[in-house]
Amino acid sequence: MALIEVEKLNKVYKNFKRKEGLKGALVNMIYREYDEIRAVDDISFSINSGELVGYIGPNGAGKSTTIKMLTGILIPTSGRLVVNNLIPYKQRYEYTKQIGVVFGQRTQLWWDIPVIESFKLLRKIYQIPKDHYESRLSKFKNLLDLKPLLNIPVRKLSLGQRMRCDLVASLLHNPDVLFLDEPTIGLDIIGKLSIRQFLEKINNELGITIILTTHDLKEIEALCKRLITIDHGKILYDGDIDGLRSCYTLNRSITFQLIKNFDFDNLEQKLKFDGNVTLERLDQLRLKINFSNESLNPAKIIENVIKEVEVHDIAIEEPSIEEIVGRIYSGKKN
Amino acid sequence: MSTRRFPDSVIDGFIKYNEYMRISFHKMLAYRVSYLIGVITYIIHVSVYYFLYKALYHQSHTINGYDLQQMVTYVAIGWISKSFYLNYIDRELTEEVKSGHVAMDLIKPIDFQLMCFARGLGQSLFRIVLFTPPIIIVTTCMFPISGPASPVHMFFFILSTFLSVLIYSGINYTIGLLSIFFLSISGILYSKNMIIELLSGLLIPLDWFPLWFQKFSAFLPFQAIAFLPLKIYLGRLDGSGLVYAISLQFLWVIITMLIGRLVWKICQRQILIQGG
Repeated sequence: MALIEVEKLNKVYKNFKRKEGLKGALVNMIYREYDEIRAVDDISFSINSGELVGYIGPNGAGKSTTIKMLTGILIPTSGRLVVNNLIPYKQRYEYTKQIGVVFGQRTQLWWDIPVIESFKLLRKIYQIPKDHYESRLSKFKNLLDLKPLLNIPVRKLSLGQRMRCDLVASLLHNPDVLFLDEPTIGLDIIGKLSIRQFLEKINNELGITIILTTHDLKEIEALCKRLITIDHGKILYDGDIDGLRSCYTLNRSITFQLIKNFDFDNLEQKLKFDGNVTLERLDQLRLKINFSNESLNPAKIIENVIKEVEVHDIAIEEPSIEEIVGRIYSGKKN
Repeated sequence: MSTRRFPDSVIDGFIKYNEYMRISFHKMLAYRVSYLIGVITYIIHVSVYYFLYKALYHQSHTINGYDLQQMVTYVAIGWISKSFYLNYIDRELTEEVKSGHVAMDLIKPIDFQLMCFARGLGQSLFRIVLFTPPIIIVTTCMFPISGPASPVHMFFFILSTFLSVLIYSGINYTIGLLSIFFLSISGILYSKNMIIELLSGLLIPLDWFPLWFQKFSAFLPFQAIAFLPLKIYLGRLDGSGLVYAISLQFLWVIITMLIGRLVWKICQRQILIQGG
């Protein structure tokens, strides 16, 4: 059985409709109208133990709402939600011992006390035996280079340092599942990289299932084998990243660096491809060929070009994941 | 999978809330200026009422069964015990809901109500150690205050005041939860403080009020916060009356806690973590 099962999950918010102006404000005091907002609209998916899943979508798509329901903070309006045989919002107390949660915009550490004190407190709250606690802490301490941070109050840490500490805090009690809501938001490249490597390691070595929301698609590409995209509360895609690529018609291009000046018109005449292919002259020595991934493969094009002219260098441009996801968000299939 | 979980035990369970108490204690230590202002405020309050009652007693020796000495004792001990049972868990809860930080409590294996109570107790602990003593010293030096009616009354007064802390926390927790519905409840908190001051008998002994009002307030939890302990201190309750007062307080501890749990249940449906 899957570790996380979500079936026809819905979350509807009632939003109070404010009327404008003084008259509207007076009317509002007596009579209120509500708008219904479907933040999560009938979504279903299941996640197996040990998976590392990226959950992405534009702002307001329903990502955070889903994560909050998965972590037991929000109660779904309807639908089935089972994690590790527990229903998060109903068996919250028991459930919280089995999960770790990191919200990038908040900290679960105590603001005014040194990091190590927060960790000690968490040990008591989760009732972690001392030897377990110490071995886990020393392991994470080395992996994330926390040693110099432990005696500093949280408020004095930089964002990247705080995030590393928060990650460790969420893992001390040895959770089965780790939920991360934008864990690298606002971090610099080195900060992102160290967190990325750490997540990869704990997923591989400790087998912790990770569900991660982010706006950084590079991160998804580097980390996640599986991707779930959501917009307007509905799941648009659920599968691996390569699958996502092949499901869309995408423009690719090859740029040839030639040795000698070439006659563009002549070359255009000679190179005839089937399908949607355009040639473009970038400068005296560079030729760019645009094509779509459905009609042709790059090898064929290269073969043909090399027959006609002498080539010094070739660069193939892949469609970026950003481009694909941007396409999904804007709702265009092609 | 579940073999890796660590079981709950009663003692460890207690320790975890003890930690919240400790943290609240430390937090209070951080605010030195508000501590000093707090001490002065309490002394000003007692002084104002002292002069007010002194003027009032110019006319007659006793009013509604209290002489001046008793009245001054009533007011001073009332404020001294308030300096102990008061806490700000309602305000903290409101701030947590507003900022959305309440989510960070909900992802931990803790009972939300017990956690809030532990915070309240931590604040009271701070107060009894560092806040109440200077107020006791200054007020006893400044005003003619009588001691407790007897050692037995003193014992029950202390017990009773401890129960006040729990009732006060119970009410504060429930009122604080309303912030989940209304988001801005500073008005509600303000009127709650006024209602508690009046109906607890802190400002004026409840037996000064008309009979119908006394009967009305006897059905509310507020009198159990100040009026009952003060009556015990002054020796106005004996034997069965004393037992009745203490049991009534126990009852209110349980009722306010149960109401808090019920409101929390309702809130959970409503809860909407801000942001994101």
